[in-house]
Amino acid sequence: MKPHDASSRPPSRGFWAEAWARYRSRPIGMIALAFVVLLTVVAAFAPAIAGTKPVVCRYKGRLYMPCLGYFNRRWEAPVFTKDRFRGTYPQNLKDKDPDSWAIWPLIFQDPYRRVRDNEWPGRPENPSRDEGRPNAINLFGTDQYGVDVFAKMVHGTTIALLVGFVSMGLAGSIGIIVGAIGGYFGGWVDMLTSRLTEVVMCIPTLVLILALVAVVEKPTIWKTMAIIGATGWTGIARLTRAEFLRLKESEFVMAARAAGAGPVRIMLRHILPNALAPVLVPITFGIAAAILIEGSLSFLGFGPPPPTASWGSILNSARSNLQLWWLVVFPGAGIFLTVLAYNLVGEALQEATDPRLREARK
Amino acid sequence: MTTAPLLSIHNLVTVFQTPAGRLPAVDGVSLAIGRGRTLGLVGESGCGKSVTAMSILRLVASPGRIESGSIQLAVDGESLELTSLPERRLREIRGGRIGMIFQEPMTSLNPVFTVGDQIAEVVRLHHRATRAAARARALEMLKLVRVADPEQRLDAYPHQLSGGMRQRVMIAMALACEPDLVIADEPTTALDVTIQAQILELLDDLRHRLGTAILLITHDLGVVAETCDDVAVMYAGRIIEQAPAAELFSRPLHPYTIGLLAARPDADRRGGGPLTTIPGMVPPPQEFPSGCRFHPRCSHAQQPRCDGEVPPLRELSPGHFVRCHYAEEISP
Repeated sequence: MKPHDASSRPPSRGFWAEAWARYRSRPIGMIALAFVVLLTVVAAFAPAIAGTKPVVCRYKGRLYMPCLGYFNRRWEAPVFTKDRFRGTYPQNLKDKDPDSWAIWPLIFQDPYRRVRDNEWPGRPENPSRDEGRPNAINLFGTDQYGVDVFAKMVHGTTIALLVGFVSMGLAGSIGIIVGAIGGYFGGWVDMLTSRLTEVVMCIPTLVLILALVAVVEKPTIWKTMAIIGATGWTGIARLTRAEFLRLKESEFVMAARAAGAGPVRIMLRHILPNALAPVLVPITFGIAAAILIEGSLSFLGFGPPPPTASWGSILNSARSNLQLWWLVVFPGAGIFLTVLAYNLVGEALQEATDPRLREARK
Repeated sequence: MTTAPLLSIHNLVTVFQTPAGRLPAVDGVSLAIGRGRTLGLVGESGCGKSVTAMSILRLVASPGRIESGSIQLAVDGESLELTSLPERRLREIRGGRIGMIFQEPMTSLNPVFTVGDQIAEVVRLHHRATRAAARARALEMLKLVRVADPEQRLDAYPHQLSGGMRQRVMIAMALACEPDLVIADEPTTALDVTIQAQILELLDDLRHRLGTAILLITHDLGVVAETCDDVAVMYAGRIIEQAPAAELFSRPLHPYTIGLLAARPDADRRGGGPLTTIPGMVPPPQEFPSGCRFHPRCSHAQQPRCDGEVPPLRELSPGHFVRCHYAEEISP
């Protein structure tokens, strides 16, 4: 209509845009968020940061990305197995195809095995035990078998974040669904879901996982995540229920019912977006808790089976080699900083989305 | 009445089952609204007028339920019984055939969606419409309710609009599917006086343009005088007087109505004495008196008849009903 009018008015900002604006004004929250983002990047690009397999290479006229083998064995092209590379690329590439070239990871170290003598031209074998203290080649030192700790840490990031996100994704879904149903329908349905929540709350997660390890033949990291998720949803369910109880009586929900909306639509479209902010906070804290649980499990030796690199399993190897202080300090700091960062993000998120807390601060 | 009314309520009883007992918030209310007519439902707070409105859409909150009575809505030549209609069919009626405007425009809009989305949602709930078509309809509705700068407002969130604007958006939502009836539950109570007048004018104008019948619930007799064809006065869960608006204002019959009209600040009363009041309070449902429920506050009450006998709703003159034993003697 009148263009000058439109430009003078500030653009429409939704709830989340407002919350983000408030979040941005918190330096600690932003630093923590930056750290979490950095971890995510490290986790996603772990094989390109530390590894012994080329990120990209040209071999016998074709391009390959052998580094994907760190995510899944089958993603490493079969030609390298056929040509008997045995995982050592630098020499084999040159020997078997003089025209080949490769782009290597930033750090030539392997999280799963000791790098041998002259594997990388002119570099000696990784030191082990007491000689393996941090140096220019092994940034965080090596463990008792000579495996590079930095590479283990980098690849362990994937596990740590995966545990946090997958288990809390599961817990969040269960918690929101159970809480929403109980809070919205009330009556005997609420009675049922609330009692169920209380029963699950009584199950000690760690003990359940230890029991699973004893019973199941092949305990994998996925089963651990499933258990953390299946037992960690109670807090989320209770919060969601409380929000739904409050919001279902609100006038806009009544208006939606009067407009002919059914229960599913009211729950998903009208109540859930309004209930999401308070629920997001315990999910963030839950991610931190899940990372801690996984760390504890691996430390106790009930973590993912040996070839999997996880921060907790490095700590576990330090248990019998306490004089190798770098086996304690680096993974310990990794877990500590990550859990701290998630908790700080959660707290900043809470302050950014909850108007009552914001008032209290002033 | 010659043609069948759009909505007819018969002997509606809505009770709230509470630990204190069975509380009849609405006790035997009968109403009829013709197509394109405006019926004002007047009464003090707590007299059951909002519960009557919510009963029509079967949206009475939890301990409350419709105990008996019938609510019939004329839809495409046939008459639907709303009290027994399956929930799924009822949802088509809500928003589609009967629109509803609430008292609080501040809280009746969902804070996390733009107003355009909310109007479009109503359209998409009742018609097969693409996103673009629903949005176009939302824009059309915003223009219809005379929101300034409708293109910009479409993407505004409720908190960015003033109270009057929000109420216009609520009206747009209620009318988006061209319902036959709009229930307006105190639509102007939360607004200041100048905005009230604008909103009422808008409602009246839309009624004439779209042919929508309106059930206007209010405690403001001034609002009724300006906009309604017929008026029903409720007291303590019952209708105590019903008449065409002009008739009711010129010749009120029930002592309560007479009292209400006398308690109105009036431009005619220049420099006159203090406003008259009705002594006492509306009793809460658990303390409804026997017989005529108004008798403890009525200066004309005569024992034992007013105390012991529920007065029937009598038609004293054509179209003018009153629930009082002594109406003929009292009215001037």
